[in-house]
Amino acid sequence: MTERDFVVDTAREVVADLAPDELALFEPVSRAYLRDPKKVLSDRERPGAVLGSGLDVVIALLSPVALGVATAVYEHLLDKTGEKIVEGGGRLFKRLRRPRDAPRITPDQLDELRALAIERAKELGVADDLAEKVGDALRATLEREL
Amino acid sequence: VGPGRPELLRTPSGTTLRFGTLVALAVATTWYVAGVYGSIWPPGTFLDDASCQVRANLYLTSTASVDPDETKWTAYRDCMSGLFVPRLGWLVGGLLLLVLVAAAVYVGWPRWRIRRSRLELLDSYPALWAKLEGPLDELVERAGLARRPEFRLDATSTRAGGVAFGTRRRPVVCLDAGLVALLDRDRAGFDAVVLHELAHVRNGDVATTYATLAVWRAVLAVVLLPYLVFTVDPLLGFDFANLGSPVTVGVVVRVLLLVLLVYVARTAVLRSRERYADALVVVWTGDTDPYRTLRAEPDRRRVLRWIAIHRRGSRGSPR
Repeated sequence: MTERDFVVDTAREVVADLAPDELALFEPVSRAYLRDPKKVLSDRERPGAVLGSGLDVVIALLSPVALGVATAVYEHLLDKTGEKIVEGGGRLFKRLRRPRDAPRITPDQLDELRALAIERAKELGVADDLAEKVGDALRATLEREL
Repeated sequence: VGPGRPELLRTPSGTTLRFGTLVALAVATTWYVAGVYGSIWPPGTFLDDASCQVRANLYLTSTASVDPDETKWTAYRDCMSGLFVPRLGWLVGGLLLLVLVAAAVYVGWPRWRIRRSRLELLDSYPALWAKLEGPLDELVERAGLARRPEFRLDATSTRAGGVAFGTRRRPVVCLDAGLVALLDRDRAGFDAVVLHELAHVRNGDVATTYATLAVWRAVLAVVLLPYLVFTVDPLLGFDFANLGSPVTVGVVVRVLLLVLLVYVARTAVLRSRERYADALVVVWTGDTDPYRTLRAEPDRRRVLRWIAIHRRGSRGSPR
């Protein structure tokens, strides 16, 4: 499983769970995110706004948040994989590469990833209650998929 | 209100008149600056103006009063008119450059915008298009357009905005991802913003708008920037000693005032088209405040409000 696959698949599951009305929009947003994550996560005004509708109003979209959170989780897993490799195991890394061979992720690890997801979601400007939901949805997705 | 031609569309928006003012000011500014270049280049001729004053015994800035001797003025005008033809190259060349740069910006900018911001066609995403096609066609019909413009998506923008651009033949309406999300969350808000952009297409002001911005940018590139550089730092040596001279300051201030006039004319064009589009949205929706759900904190930056294109400018998240 590549980073791209992991991030997009995980984020899509989170969006399907919490904001199914955004699913149709998810594909273009995820493509744009993979091209330039910072641009998608930034709410800066774009060039050419002088010709726009004049409404400088930001709509709370879950897709960019889910993609940002999934990226943070993937990077965390890679860090952990590095540690595991050093320890001689590398099982989590194998799990990411070959799902059938590796052991299941532990509940403690899932809780750790949930906490990470909540923290990252809050960093991205999500309200506390929605961040908790993102964390729960991500935990459930990882539990199913990993 | 039906999709026919509303009374409002029979009322002139004044956009073309304002655009004409902008073009006249841009031409006058370019003419003035090209005339200044013509009076100092080639270097052997830069005292010609002064020599005309000496020959006519008329010193324009030596006293505060106007010399009443009409013969001096006649001699001065005769002398100066002899300088017109040699300087004509500068005047025509300056205007030609202005037109060329404006044309390049006008033609190239929409393409550059699509390419740079990767504004993808909405119908290239089948799932998304299946959801949007019906509502968008309904709005296109409500706006009284004979055919659907090219709809594109800015997937990187979470704003509830849109923009109409392109050319008269090939108008493009780009929707922000945030606006598309409004379809399920705030249909009235979605309709209002899309109708606003379609109003620009219906008014046929997309071309005028791009021409306005093209002229403005051409004035900045052809007139203001080179003029300021060569006036303030003629040898490009990063030596700004010239700025201490009252003559330099006077010249710079005059040019800046002319460019300010061009800017005001540009803002007037853009503002009038926005107001007109807003008025059409009110007619088409039958709602006197169609953007009410999209109103966030009012923008309290007073100076920015004075020069704002949009009257309803607001920033933040929807209420």
